[in-house]
Amino acid sequence: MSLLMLTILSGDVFFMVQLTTRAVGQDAWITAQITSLWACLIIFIILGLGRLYPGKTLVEYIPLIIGRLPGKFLGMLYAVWFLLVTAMAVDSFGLFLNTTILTTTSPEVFVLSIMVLVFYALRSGLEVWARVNEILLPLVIAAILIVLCLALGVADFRRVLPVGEHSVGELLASSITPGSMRGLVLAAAMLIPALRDQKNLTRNLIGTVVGVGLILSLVNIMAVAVFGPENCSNLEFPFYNLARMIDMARIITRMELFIVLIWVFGVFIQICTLTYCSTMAAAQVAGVTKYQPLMFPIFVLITALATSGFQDVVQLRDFLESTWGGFGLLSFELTIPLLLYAAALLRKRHEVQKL
Amino acid sequence: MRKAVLVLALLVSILQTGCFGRVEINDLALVVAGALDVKKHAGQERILFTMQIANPMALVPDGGGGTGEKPFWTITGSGRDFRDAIDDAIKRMPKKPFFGQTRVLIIGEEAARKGIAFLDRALRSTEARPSNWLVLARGTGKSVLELEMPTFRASGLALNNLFQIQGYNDGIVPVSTNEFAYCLSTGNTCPVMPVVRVVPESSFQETARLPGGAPPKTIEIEGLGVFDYNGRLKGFLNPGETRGYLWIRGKARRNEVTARQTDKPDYLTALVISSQRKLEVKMAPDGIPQFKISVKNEAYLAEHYSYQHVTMNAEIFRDMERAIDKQIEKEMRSALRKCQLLGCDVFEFGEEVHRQHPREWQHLKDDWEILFPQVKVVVDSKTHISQCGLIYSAPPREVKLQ
Repeated sequence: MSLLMLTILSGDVFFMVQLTTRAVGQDAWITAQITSLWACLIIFIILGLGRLYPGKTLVEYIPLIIGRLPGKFLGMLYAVWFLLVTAMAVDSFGLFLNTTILTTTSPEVFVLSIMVLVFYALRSGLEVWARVNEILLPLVIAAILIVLCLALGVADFRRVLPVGEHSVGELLASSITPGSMRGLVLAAAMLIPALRDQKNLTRNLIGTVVGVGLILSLVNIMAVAVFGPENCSNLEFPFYNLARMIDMARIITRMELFIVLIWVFGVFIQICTLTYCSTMAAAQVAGVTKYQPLMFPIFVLITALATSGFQDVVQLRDFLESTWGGFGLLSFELTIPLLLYAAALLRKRHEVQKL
Repeated sequence: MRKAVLVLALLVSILQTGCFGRVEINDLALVVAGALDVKKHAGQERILFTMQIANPMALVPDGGGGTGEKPFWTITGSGRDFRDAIDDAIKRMPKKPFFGQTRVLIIGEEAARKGIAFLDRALRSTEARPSNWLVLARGTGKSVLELEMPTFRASGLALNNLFQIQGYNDGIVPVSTNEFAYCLSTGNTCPVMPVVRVVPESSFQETARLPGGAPPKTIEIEGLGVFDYNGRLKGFLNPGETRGYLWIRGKARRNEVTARQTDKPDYLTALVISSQRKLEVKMAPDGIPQFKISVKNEAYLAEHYSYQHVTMNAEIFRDMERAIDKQIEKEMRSALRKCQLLGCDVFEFGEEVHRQHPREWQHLKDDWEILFPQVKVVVDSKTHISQCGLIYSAPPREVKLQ
């Protein structure tokens, strides 16, 4: 399940730090922990559904729960949802590189190059890029921890005080948007049937989201300790700036390339996972057994959406701040699966009574 | 077929090693330091931006470029704001300015008093770093950058070295752009900047005289400039007050403290090697916070001049510690008095109230500017002198300082 770790890690670390510090200042690290709870809730729901319909993916068992026609419709919505989220990830990939290091390169270059790479990886099947992920994940986590450790020299941890200044309500409200990012763990519902290790699913999935929560909390604490809460919320990419602050013994400086490495690796796996999910969803809604023929149209769609989606960073930030919470956690990631699970339980009980 | 495509792809990737925004390093003007000043021009205020641009060939000591080349060159542009001034300078530059190697940004005194905006560009630019140092120049920043020093040649690099080697020692307070922005972002902490000025060289060879017979010049860092809550220069702290600032902030590293022993005319100097601060905030019944600063220092005895020959013993040691403590407390009090007089909370006291009493702070934060000059502060220093160098008592027959 380490696939999902990278899928949710990069978005969390790069976009959620500034959004949560803007909402709750130095308490952002608490929000990161609350967010883990949302993600755990999602995991319990999709695992419950998975147990009721073993060997089937989300899109496959939706028609079994709510009937053929509405099921197909909802499945299609999920396919479109995955498609849009993928386009957002691809778009933000280009935006980050555009604002930080490759400022004069046109964004289409990033979009096309990552999409070609993802196309190549996905065409070879799930196992291929899952193995790539096994190499990249330790690298990314090591790079994050190295950057955090090196920034200790410029940190002032009194800036993280006072702890818990914000009320529980404010903290919960601030956890919705990052909850959507962490809620991408929903992709597990599309992947579970393909997994070899079915026994330790609960443990692995929960370990994944809690692990990401811990890393995010550490990044939050470091960013606030270095920049202060107000200052941090104003930064475009606090984690990137954190690396720019590093200056150890005048030798270890300019660590921002570590950040770019984390970003490129993380987003590659994220886009792979999400594209796989949208292609699978589309294929299963259409009732096709092999997803490969659908790949090309889906890729064209994603590329088109990504290049014409967000026109600038302000739109991306506005979207993340105001829409993403409702578009992710409050609808497709938590509420709909929850209703599906309730319906599925009722249906099963009904079937048992009939017998 | 597949192999052919693969080979072709590899070949193409080898050939395509460039990138979009590539500029040859020879075409880059490496700006090592910048300075902002203001100037009245035709009744309008213009911003002057001076860049000190390194000549990498001549910066290497006795390296290949020893052909009498200048180690750096400077260029000034003027405009309505920071960026406008750079644009103006570009018209006269045969190279592309590159700020990725910039280490120091100097603000001229006049510009600082006017409170000109510089943080936005310094933080927004992807080339400049938030870890760059900020320095306040007595007079103009331009004059600091135009100075060629005998020891380090480019004054911008010299400032950078000074901060990195001597930072937090002996009253030198390095301030990064990030630190400055942080103070302003809290809304209740005033930022500070170390002060640099151009002074005549105190010792030099006769051949080094400038044309006209004037002594050569160098730069000196002394004291701190205090800014108000909006980032305008309000006043200065002298070296003693600057050390007081370091004690209160708990940032002091190696600082020498010279003090007179109680009821003896003896002078001693202690080298404080580490200092730890504890800041307690108590809410008084009238709702105004009270502060207690306790500083714990670890020190070595660096010098001791005694009028009568005394053999060192534990009692004298304790007496010395008390003398050092008194001096440190005096420095802290003088820094406090000056800043309360200026009405600038440079000690993060407001933030400290916020951290220790978040609920009460909600009522105080809007009036902090008025409250800060009135708050009561108790200072307390506890120094422990742990060793006295390679001799025990002062040598007996030395001529004593009168």
